Amino acid sequence: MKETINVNIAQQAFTMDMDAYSTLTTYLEDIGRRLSPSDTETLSDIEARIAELFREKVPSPMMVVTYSIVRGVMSQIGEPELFGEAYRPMSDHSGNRTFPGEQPRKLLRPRTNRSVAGVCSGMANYFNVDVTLIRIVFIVGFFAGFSTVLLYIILWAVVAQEPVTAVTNNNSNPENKA
Amino acid sequence: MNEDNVKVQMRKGILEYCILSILSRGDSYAPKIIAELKEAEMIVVEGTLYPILTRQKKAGLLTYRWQESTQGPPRKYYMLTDEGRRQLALLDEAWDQMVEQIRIIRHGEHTDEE
Repeated sequence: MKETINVNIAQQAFTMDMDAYSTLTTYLEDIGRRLSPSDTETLSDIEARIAELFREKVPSPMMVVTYSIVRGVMSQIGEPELFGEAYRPMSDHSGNRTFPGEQPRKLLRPRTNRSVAGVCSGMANYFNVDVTLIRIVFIVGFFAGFSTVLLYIILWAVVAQEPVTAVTNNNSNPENKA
Repeated sequence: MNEDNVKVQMRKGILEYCILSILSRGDSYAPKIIAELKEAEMIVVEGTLYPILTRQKKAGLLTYRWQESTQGPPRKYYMLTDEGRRQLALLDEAWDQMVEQIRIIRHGEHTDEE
């Protein structure tokens, strides 16, 4: 049993095995980074051709595009090196990519879930840990002789308060201005 | 000197000329152009064609229209522009000249007088 994924290549629907899908994704990305950044057309032409070749080999959308079909089509189109030197490196797939709509993480003092001014709560959000842990560190730090109160006051002054609704964050992104 | 490599370089140089020539006989779409070029052993892999088509389109030598297809989605039909025809005429001339020059180089200029 194998996991499959539904994809749309040049406006045509295909069901692909996961290994076939990831191989094709890497292949297309490798070609894309070798084409001139102003050239958006060549890659979509190639995708259209790939869709056509898939359709020849897999006439029904109910049938699965397998790894060996993808390999066959890739050897018919040619190695990515054929498209010249790369303009940019391959993105690693370990989550370095920012997806549209995903905001860069910011240190802000939230308006809710605060004890004094939201400094601990903001740090908890930022580091993705329990706010209680941060508060304990601050309090224990104070009794242990560290200037955590002073640190707290400085952070209170320096760290901006979260905007009224989290959505207003998106105003910096022109795509969401519609 | 690698014989295959020399052939590859030769083909590369005249591939753009071949594409213009194919289109001068009538509008065509990528898979059909590919089939002709493969038949003539001008290309081995299909990917070679697409960047050239994009480049020639940017240079104003050819353009395309979308045409419905009986099988599957609409296809891009490529056709020569006036500029493309002019360019092709120049290349035709250059090709004939080159063939003549090569003939002279291979056989010597005054073969018939000797």
